Amino acid sequence: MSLRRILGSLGAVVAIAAAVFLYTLHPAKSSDHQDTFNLATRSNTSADITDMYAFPSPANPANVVLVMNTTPLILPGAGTTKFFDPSVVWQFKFVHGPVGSFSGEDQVIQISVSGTGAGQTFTLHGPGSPIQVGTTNTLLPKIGTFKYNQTGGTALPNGIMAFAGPRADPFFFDLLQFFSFLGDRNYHNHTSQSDPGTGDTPTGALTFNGFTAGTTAGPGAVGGNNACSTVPAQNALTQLMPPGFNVLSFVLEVPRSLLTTGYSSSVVHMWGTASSASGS
Amino acid sequence: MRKNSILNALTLGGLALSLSACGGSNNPSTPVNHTSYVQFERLARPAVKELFETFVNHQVTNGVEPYNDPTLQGSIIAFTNTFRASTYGAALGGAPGGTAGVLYPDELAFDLSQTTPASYLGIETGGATSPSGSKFGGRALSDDVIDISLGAVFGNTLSALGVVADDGKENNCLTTDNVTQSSTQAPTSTFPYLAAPH
Repeated sequence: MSLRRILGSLGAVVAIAAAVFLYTLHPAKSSDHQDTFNLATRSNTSADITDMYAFPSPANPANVVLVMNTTPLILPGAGTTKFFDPSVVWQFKFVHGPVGSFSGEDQVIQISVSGTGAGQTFTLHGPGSPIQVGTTNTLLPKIGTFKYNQTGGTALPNGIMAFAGPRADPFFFDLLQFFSFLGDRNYHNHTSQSDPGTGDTPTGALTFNGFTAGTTAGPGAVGGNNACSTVPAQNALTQLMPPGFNVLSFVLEVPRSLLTTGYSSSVVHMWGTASSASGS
Repeated sequence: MRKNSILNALTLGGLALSLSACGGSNNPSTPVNHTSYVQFERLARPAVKELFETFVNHQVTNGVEPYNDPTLQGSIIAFTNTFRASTYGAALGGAPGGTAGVLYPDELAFDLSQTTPASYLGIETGGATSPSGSKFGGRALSDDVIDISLGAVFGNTLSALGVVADDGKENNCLTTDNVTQSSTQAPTSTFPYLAAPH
């Protein structure tokens, strides 16, 4: 809250300095950026998955593109100095069926990594039926390998085009205004993962910023029919650190047939996980 | 007979070696990794854990399957009902309707039979979250997932679809954060589609 006031009153130059302060001393989370102490305080934060995407390939309609972004809040200019944690395995997990299915994964794609620095090599396993369903898994047979930050992608034997490396974070949100009325979600407001802190109950003016004058919450709104804030809204992912933060991305362009052949439904439900031998 | 058995064994063994050498999936030079990996991070839909669930409970959710989460479904209902009528979050146990019925299990759904663009929550809402009515679902790199999510929780997105009755408690100040994707974040038309790092 105090940081928001500072940013609002001192302008862009101070906003950049404040963002550095926010990043280095009091990490903040957004879509899923730094959502536990464990993920935020690891020496390598690539186990922290920030966002997942799935969309038809702009280049080939027969393919679907799957994206898993990790490693939140990489400063501008620092993208190629960040690498993946070799102790971690990342998985795209899928279950086929109608909306509302409550079943375990029936197909997985797994990515492991070896080496350190810009010479890292990634191994893709799958897609295939999981050896184990649930939260403890072993790896499927290797399909192929690809290198760090090959922006043209690497074509693998099963038709998947793969990439792993730094990209601009596409997520956008007025993070600081969200924190102003739901402080619990700010990692900075807790002393440990088990510290309940304060702020779980929404407080203060329940409003985002950027509304035109005269806009009100509405007659039935909880907390009253207050006026909405006209303070300029702010995309924290770019305006706190222009031109914006980066992430480490896994991008897989996958033939649709690899995710549908042999399954009774074309509807796929996907989630991402990060795992390690120690489970932490 | 014995000779035939030996020949058969040699032939089958040779065939197995040939197959594994030709295919990329069983490289004989790569030792099989029998390590068990234990999950400690999980993510699917944007802003679900972050909006609905207390920070303390994130650790729990990160270690379990999305279809077997002991805290998230109740958190969605409890948080929604802080702002809405008591029925708006819907019932536990996977009952359809309400925010919990739409957002639990926390999995990103997409329909590979659809050729239309990605549209966050496009399947769950019958295309209502997409300007073009797309039912592909998934999530595009430029989808305004925050406004879509806020509309479902604080606006009338779900009641307009008949997913839940209109309770008259919409909050106009919370249905959008009034930010758009910066041009520096905009996706590209060529692989890997995310903008180059800054």
